[in-house]
Parts: sequence; structure tokens; C-alpha cells
Amino acid sequence: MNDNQTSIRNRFFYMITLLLVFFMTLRAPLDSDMLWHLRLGEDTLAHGWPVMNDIYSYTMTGTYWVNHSWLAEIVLVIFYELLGYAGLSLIVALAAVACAALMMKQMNSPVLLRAGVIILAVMVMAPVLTPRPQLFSLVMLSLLSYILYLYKKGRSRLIWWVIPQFWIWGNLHGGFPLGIILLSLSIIGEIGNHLWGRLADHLLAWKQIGQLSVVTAASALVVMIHPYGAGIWQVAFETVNIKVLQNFIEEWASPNFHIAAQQPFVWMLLIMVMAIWIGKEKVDWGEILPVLAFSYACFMARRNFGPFAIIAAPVTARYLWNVMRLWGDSVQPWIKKAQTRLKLSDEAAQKLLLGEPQKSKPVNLMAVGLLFGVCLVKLFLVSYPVNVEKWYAQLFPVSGAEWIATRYPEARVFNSYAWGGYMLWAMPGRQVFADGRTDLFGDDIIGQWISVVQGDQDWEAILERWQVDLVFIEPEQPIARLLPHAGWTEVFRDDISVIFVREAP
Amino acid sequence: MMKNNHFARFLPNLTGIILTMVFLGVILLGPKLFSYDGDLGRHITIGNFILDRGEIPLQDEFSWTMYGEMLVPHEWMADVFFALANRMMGLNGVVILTALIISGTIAFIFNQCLTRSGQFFGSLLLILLGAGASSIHWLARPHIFTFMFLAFWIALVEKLLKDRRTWLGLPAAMMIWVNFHGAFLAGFMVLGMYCAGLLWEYLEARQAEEKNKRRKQMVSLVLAGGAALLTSFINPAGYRVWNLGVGYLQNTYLVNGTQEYRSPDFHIQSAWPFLLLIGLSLVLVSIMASHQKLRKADVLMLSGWTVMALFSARNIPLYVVAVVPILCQVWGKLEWPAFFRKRDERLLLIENSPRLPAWYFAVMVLAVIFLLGKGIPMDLHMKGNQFDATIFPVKAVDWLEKNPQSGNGYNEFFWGGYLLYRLWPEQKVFIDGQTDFYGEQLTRDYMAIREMGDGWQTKIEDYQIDWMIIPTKSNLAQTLMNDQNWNLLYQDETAVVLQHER
Repeated sequence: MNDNQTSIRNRFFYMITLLLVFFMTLRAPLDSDMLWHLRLGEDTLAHGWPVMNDIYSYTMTGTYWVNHSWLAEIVLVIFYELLGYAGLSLIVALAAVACAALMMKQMNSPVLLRAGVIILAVMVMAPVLTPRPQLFSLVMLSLLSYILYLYKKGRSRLIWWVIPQFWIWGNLHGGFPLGIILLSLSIIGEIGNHLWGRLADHLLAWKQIGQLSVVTAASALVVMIHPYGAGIWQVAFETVNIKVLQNFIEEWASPNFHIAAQQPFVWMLLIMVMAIWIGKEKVDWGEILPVLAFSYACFMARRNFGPFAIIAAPVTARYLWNVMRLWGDSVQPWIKKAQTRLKLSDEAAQKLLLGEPQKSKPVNLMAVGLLFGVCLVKLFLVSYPVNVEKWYAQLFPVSGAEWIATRYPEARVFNSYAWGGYMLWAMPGRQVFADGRTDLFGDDIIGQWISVVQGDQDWEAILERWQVDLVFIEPEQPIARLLPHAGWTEVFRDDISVIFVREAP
Repeated sequence: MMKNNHFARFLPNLTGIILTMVFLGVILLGPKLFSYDGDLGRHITIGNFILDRGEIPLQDEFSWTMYGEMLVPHEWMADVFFALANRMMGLNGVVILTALIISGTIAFIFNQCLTRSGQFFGSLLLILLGAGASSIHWLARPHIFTFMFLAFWIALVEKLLKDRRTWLGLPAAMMIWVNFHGAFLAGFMVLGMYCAGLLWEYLEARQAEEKNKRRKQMVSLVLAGGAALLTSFINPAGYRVWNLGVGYLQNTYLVNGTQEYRSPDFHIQSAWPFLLLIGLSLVLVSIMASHQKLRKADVLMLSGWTVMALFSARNIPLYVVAVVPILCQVWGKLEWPAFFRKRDERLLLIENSPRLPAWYFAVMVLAVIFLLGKGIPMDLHMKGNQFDATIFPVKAVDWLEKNPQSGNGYNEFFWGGYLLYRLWPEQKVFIDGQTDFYGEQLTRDYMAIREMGDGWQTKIEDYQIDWMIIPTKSNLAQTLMNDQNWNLLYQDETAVVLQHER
């Protein structure tokens, strides 16, 4: 097969893989946090500057709060304003495709192997692929990883682009420390390669390591060109130290491997380790250390599946290719034997194994076109407003919120944490007890919220302290059983929500 | 010189020191060994039943909800051991038995580590990490027997690979293991991984001699495994013991709802040694990838047990048994500086020098037996080995002993074993920790009442529940105490006893 034919085949599989990723990640935009991001994004656009002090909750009203995702929220709002729900579905799928494309560019392995690893990587990332600002961190991390890859390949000048990239990243999402971690560990790994002589080829020169260190330091500083200045760093440290996040918010908890969607992380890790073990090639510490760090991050919080996949996929593909080459040598005599028995020429055998791309060009185009068409149909289905609103009604307390808006327009509502975002979006102007901005509410307010919903001994005192008029909660929460015995009257109930009003004394 | 040598024979070697340290460590945990798991009472009760009546219960006599249903006593021998220990020294005896099994197993694994790695420091570091990781599930329950049996089982498999004449060891060990604990299935998983590894190496082998060797090893394993499969049916329940183990693991409701079957939570400190072992595995594999050809069976064991431990925290001790010796072997192949190597070799020489049997360990065990027997508490909090009254309804059961209740009682799931321990045969339970026996429907009904889920009041009527012993702070207790159909009979900080007015 000549170079041109190989190139056609590669382009075909490349396109098919990206279309598959696009298809897999097209989903209905159903995320509670997305809704408060949209609310904040709209307000930022309206006022021309992000909100500096909280106005959305009555528990933290007036408190200084760093909205680290202000720019991403604007992008989300623009997509939503232009294309409606389709815009929100599209932005997730496009981000996933961008990540996949950048990962594939870093894989020096056959295109089919790349495709397999990319599909696995997208499965790893799937739980965190929702229309939220962290999506931008995934794209930024992929881009950074690609620039680092090119830098190691000798494209030295590119590395300076990392600094403006971090300036944008710092304004898009608070996940930029992931990039600083990647850069720092790459530097340590490269030093390790020098000291332990583990990798003779592709060693970064000491001068390049120095250059990388300067870029890292400058990147850490440039993120502070931000409406909240140095506060952007503060919020990054504060967020990971909130205990209630780890105990209560699912995405910050350790993975639950009983859930199928969370298992691909382990499969990828195991495949990589086994490939390293079997491949018998000296490892590059510059790539292994970040993989170790991001694996650790995944074990601590499942929201790190995305960054792990972005860093681990190119490494996995590279070591798997080593294994395949190693096994290829063992399999070669068997192929030769079969070829002799079947009386096939070398060319015929290759056609049999790898296909005949020049003849299949129109078929290739048709396949790509067909898959693209299927993607468009899926986009239509997952974002068709009637469908989305039907799913909203199954997920969010749509009727309950309408009931409150009509009957109690001024009442102070104790709400389910999961519905805070929905209430900010669907009931503009009404303050909530808590919403998804856990970094604002911290252990204190979320702890109080948990005490109330679990019916702990101080639940009545907490509701009294915040002068709550209505409790708007899921019917299965323990507090819903206790309220009728404590002077509260049930005034509304459906499958999703129940509303209690304090009885007049 | 002679004098010195004689004196040295009386000094403990490191294996003995580790054995003693872990033994004392478990003794220090004391009542925690049965505070995190409510089943000990059930095990002692069944053990007592067997010892008193001379028969193994094949029908339920312990609950009123499942009375007379067929029982698969897959842990009966472990229950007998716990009951005997309890008869001899009360709960002190149970703690000593648990400490002996855990420390003996850790010392055995350490010995395996030394043999496989030929390295002293590496083995020490890894066994300490392994002991830390396995401590997440150090509890007085039959699972510790599987911890022990798996260590012996892997040693037997290794021996069989070297010498085919030792094949009888596997069926003999399985015949005992299957009567101690339902996780005997782990032995067959290990055999599967070894066979797959050997098959892989057989396919890769280029030379006929190498192929022949792998084939012979595979045949030995398959034949010995087949014999072990047959002996696994030698138990009071026969083939049903297999149904129970496999069936339970297939029930997602029960498995997901049982705390110990959940994935480890790495925010809890006790899971950190396991996380460190995973990290160390990755680092060692990365370092050794280009240097050392390791057995494929080891690759499969490391991967397989890592996955199983990530799936269920209760598999972490088994992961330690299977993986730590492999990591030690990899560690032993690292290129260490000459300075370090020399010191390590010296210590290894001391470790392997002839010693008298571990008399110091025997003295330590006797001392612990004496002190605990005299009523001197040895646990960290000096509470003594007794059921914690803040966790178990100790005072409420004292009251129930004096004021026995008639009719059907509903109890907290976690307290089922304790209630059997104190009140059986006069009182039977609604449910206890053996969810594999009670099944999904009864467990769902129990949960519906406990969490006051849909139709919980109807379920109380359906089961004709006459009284309840439940936690004071539970929402159910708070609600029923305000309900005029229920009378509060007893209340303390831990438990309430409520009677249904009909």
C-alpha cells in the first residue's frame, strides 16, 4: 500500500472516529449546575461585569464571591441564545471532539489503535461531559498537552503560546491548576529522565527544561489578570478543602465502580499498566508522572476522569503500540504460513488484511456522510424543545416551582440543593437557601442544609434561624416525614417535589 | 564467639517481631473488631447452637420472618471457632483468636515476600503498607479465615508449579476452606489467573522445552483445581454453597446496599495505604518495564486483584495477600546502590540464621491471655472487650431481658446479631446481617419501614409487627414516639423499645 493510500485510509478512520465521538457526546442539556451558570452568564452580559458579591442566596447574600467561570458562562449563554438547547448540546459535543482530535494528534500509532483508545477515553470522560464551564478546562488541558508534545518534538517556539492560553483559561474556568500541575510534573519528569537515564531518545535539553519552568511560572502569574485578581488562586485551594464536597457532592467523591459509567477509568489505567509491563520499553517520566498524579486525582474525586483521560490516552496508545509491535513479531510467522497455504501474494494478503482504500473512496464518503446525518438527527432529538422540557419535568420540580411562583411570590424557600440552579433559572429574582456554588456556601451552610434534610436534632432551629416560610424538597427526604409532625402543612405534592408551609401560630 | 551465637539464637527475628507487633496491634483495636460489624453475635449464636446440639443448622431457627426456611451454613466452622473462643474467654477470646489469625497471616505473607524478593527493607516496607491496607477490614468475622486461607492457597499453588507431587494440598485446603467462609471462590479465581498466565506464556514460548514445561504446569493446576472443585462440595449444604456465593454477588441491590461491598472511599484515612500500594505498583511497573520479564500470572494477579479491591473494599485484605509478594519480587529486582545492598544482605543473613521457635511470641500471647483474663483492658481506649453501649442497644436489651416482649419484633439490621447473642432462643429477630439468607424482598421491606418509604405503615401491618427496638435518633423512632398507636416502653440514648397498640 503506497503512502497516498495509507493517508486516505487514515483520514477516513480519523473522520469516522471524530464523528463517533460527536455522536456519543451529543446529549440533552440536563444539568442543574448548567442552569445557574446560564443565569450568572446572562447577568454578566446584562451588567457588563461579573457579580462580585452574592445576590442569589439569602444565606450568603452580600458575601464576596469569586465567579471563576464568568467567561465560560458568557460563552454558554451565547450558544444558548443563538441555538437554544441545541447550542448547549452542541458545545459539549464540539468540546469532546476537540479533545479527541488533540489527543489523536499525540498518538504515534496506527489509526485503528488510536480510534480504539479515543473511544475508551471518551467513555472515561463521559460522566463529566456536561454543558458546564469545566468543559473549557478539558479543551484547554488537551491543547496544553498537545503543545507540550510538539515542544518535546522540537517545536520550541510554540511553548510561549502557553502563557496567553493560561490567561484565557484562568478567565474561563477555575480548573487551570490542572495545567500548572501538568507543566510542573512534566518538568520534574524530564529532570528524572536526565538523572536516572531512563530515556535516551527525545530527552529535553536542560535549556528547554529551564524554558518550560519560566513558562510555567509566567502562566501561574498571568491567570491573575482576571476580574477577581489573585482571588482566582485562592478559590482553587479553598474549593478542594471543602469537606462537605467530598462527603456529599457526587462528582467530588471517590469513584463507585459498581456503576458501569465509572469503570472505564480503571480499564484504561489497567490497559496502560499492562501495556507498559508487557511492552518492555523504557518509560518517559515526563509523561508517567502526570498520569500518576491524575490517576490519584481520579481516586479522590470522580470529576477528574476527564483530565485523566486526556493525559493518559496518548500514553496508553503509545505503549499499546509497543505491545502490538512486540506481538506482531510473534504473529508474523503464522501469517506467512497462512499466506503460503492460501497461495496469496504479499499485495493480496495486505489487501485482505487492511482493505482496498482506493476503490472504497466513494463508500468512505458515503459512510462519513451517513454518520454525519445520524449525528444531526440525534442532535435534533436530544435538543428538541418539547423533548427537553419533558425531561426537565421528570428531573426538576417544574410544577412545584410554578405553584410557588403563583401562590407565594415573596416567600423564603428552603430548597433541595440539587434544585438551586433550576430555581435561579426558572424563578429569576428569588433567592435560594443553597445552589451548586459549593465554594461560596462551604461546610457551614451545606452542613446546615444536610442537617435539615436528614432531620437532625437542630433542623427546626436552622429553619427558624433563616426564617424559612416554605420547604421545597424531594418527597423521599427524611425531613418530609417529620415536617407534618412539627407544625408544617403539606400544601403541594407531585412525583418530584413536596411543599410544606409553616402553620400560623 | 560461641557465646554470642548462642545468645543470638534467643533474639527474635524480624518475622517474629512483625508477628508480635501485628498481634498487639489487633489486641489494641479490641472492641472495634466487632463495633463496625454487627454480625459477631450471630456467628457466636450459631456456633453455640452447633456445640450444644451437635448438629449444623440447615433450617432457620434464628429469625421469625424466615423461620424454617432452608439455611446454607457456609461459615459454620468459623462460627464454631468464635463460639469456642467466646466460651473460653468471652469476647477477649474472640479478640485473641482474631489477632492470632491476622498476625499469623501477615507474618506468613512477610515470609513469602522475603523468599520472593531476597530483600529485607523492601519486604518490610511493603508488608507494613500491606498490613495498613488490610486493616480496613480487620474485623472479628469469618472473612479473616479467607484472608488466612488465601495466603496458604497461593503458597500451595506456587509449590505445585515447582513440584507436581504436592497436588493434594489444594483439594485438602479447599475441603477445610469451604466450611469456613463463602469467599472460598477466591481460590478458584486465583487458579484461573495462574492458568491464564501459563497459557499466555505457553503461546508465547518459542522453544519446545519451554512449551512442554508450561503445558505440564497447566495440567497440574487444572487437575489439582478439579480435585479442589470436587472437595468444595464436601460441606453441609453440598453444591448449594456455590449457588449462595455466586447468587449473592449477582444481586446488585444487596451488593450495592452492603457497606463492605462498596468501592473504597479514598477520603478516609484507612484507605490511604491501599492507594499508596496502587501508586507503588504503577511506579514499580514503570521502572521495571524495560528490565525485568515477569510471569504473566503475576501480571494477571496484580491487575485482577486491583480491580476486585477497587470494586469492593472488603477485597482489600485479599488484594494484599495476592499482590504484596509480587510487588516485593519486583522491588527485589531494582538496582540498589552497593551501600544499601550490603546492609540489606546483612539483615537478611540475621533473619535467615537459625533461631529457636518464636518463644517470645508465645510468651506475649500468654501474657495477653493472662492480663485480659484478669480483666485488665488492653485496647486503646481502655474500655475492655465488650459491646459498646453507644453503638449496640446494651441497656435496652438488659431491660428486655427483664421485660420480655411477646409477638413479632422489628429490629435495626445492625443490631440483629447482638440481639441473637443476648436474647436467643427466647427472642427471634426480624433481620440480621446475613442478607444473603434474608434475600432482596425482605431486605427491601425492612428498608421501607426503616426509611419510612412508600407504604411503610402498611408493611408494619402486613408483618404484624408488635414491637420495635430501633435507634433513638432515627426518624422512624421520632415519628413513632409521636404516634398515638405506639407506646414508648423504654428509651435511652442509643435505643428505644416501642409497642404497637392494637
